[in-house]
Amino acid sequence: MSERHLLFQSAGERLVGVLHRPEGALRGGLVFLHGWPGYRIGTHRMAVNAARKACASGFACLRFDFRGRGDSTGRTTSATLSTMIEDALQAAALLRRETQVEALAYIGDCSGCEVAIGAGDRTPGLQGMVLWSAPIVGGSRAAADTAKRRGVLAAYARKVFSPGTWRKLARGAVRWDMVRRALVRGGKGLGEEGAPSDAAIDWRARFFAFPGRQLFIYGGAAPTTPACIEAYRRLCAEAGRKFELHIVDGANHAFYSAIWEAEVIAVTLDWLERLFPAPV
Amino acid sequence: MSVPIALEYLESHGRRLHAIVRGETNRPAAVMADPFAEEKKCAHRVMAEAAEALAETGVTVLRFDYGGTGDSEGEFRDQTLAAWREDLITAARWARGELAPSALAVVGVRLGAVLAAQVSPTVRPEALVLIAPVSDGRAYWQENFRRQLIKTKLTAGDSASAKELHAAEGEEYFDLAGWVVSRELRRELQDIRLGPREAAVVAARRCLVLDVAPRAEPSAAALALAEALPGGVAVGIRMEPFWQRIGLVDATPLAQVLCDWLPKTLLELSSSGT
Repeated sequence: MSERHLLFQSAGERLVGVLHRPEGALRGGLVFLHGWPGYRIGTHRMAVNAARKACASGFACLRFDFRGRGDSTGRTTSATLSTMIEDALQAAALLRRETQVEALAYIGDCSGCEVAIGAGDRTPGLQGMVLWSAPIVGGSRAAADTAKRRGVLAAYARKVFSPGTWRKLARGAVRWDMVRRALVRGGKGLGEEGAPSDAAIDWRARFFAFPGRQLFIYGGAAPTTPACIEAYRRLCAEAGRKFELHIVDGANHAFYSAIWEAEVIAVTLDWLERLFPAPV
Repeated sequence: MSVPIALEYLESHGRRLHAIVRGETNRPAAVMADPFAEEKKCAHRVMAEAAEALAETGVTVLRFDYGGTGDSEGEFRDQTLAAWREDLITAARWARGELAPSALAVVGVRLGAVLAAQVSPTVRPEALVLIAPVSDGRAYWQENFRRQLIKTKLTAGDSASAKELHAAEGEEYFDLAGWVVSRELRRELQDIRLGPREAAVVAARRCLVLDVAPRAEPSAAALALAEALPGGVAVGIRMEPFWQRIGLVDATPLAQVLCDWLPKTLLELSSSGT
């Protein structure tokens, strides 16, 4: 196995990626799509661990930073889901070019799932996508947003009873700007409310037009999970597609535990190995 | 706008470390030392933007991942602060040898600031920048532990108790929100002290302590630390604690302070000889 960093272009921006290449014949290629504020290693380095395991199993993998993220160029505030989709298409083309692999899958994390769905119907060779904590696209997000807001309020309610909070208050170290923003924006970070250019994307049409398979993985304790599952179950039924779902019991949105992370990676690889059998 | 970039691999005690160089050789240079665990991930973009801004002023910047972190080889669970200090020394030596800088700075963030101070007698950088340094390892670990407890309670509800988490903390490995921290690393973290007393062993000609806080004035602790450091000065930056923020943070305030201080300081130190 080898790991090599590389630079590639997307709309004039210089993107940084890491190519994982196994020895011998390839099963397929995997492109990792990180979340909105993250970068190519993923939360608690989950993308690195997943890519290394996938590579050991015969998959060529590409992890990369979207423009305006990680080590890639581009203004942080200029990135949108539309630009992320453009970058994902360039990354997929690069992986095919570098490895001559024909069959691809996306592995999306949070907003990376939106990118996978947005790019799915226009990525040559794409046969599948694994979606870790996919937010709702192509449907109303009201229920999920409400659940997220409730989760933020619960977090702050707990902090009120923490001695550490009172110590911070006493020494004037509470970040009121952060508290206000979290409560007003309901847990959404900078730019997460969506750019006008993204509103023009027909998410439902792209979801329906993707001809491959999808695996949805959610944390069982994430507040938005029930609304997301309901939305995608309905969308898959409308698309005439089997709704493939795995819930990690007790896990939160970003699978913040080594045990949850291991389960997500194992389920992901098991599904991908069945989708892309080993070459004979 | 973008500066020249080179993707490099450094060998540190049999491990391959990933590194990125922004800028050119034969200039003043800086090596950046990252914070701990998820703080490193949260700080990544801000530090990348700061590196880009510094490179635009003519300071070449080397950023690297310690073993078991980022894109570097190794498992996080096998790491120790001793190994990371060796990695930082390797990176600084590589920068001295390959970038041929007229003067070298080490810029550390949080835990990275502690490591930067600790390796300074070996690396002997001309300048040292300590961004929101961890000053008390025991308090730092407690802060991480409390954050983990809140996260656990939010997920598992009140069935998760502090007692259970404390029991888990006694095990060989502790799961800190997906980062598996060995007992040895926990002990090393809790032993951290960086105050005026420890500043006495720091070897650099100029030092800058950056206090990132809700107010623009540096705290008393930052001022005391700076006073004890050679050529030390403290500056306050009114900015969010970017190493804790999951969302995006505007890097401008930090980049501005670094760009105001570091190029000028390194040029002065270059021309005065080392």
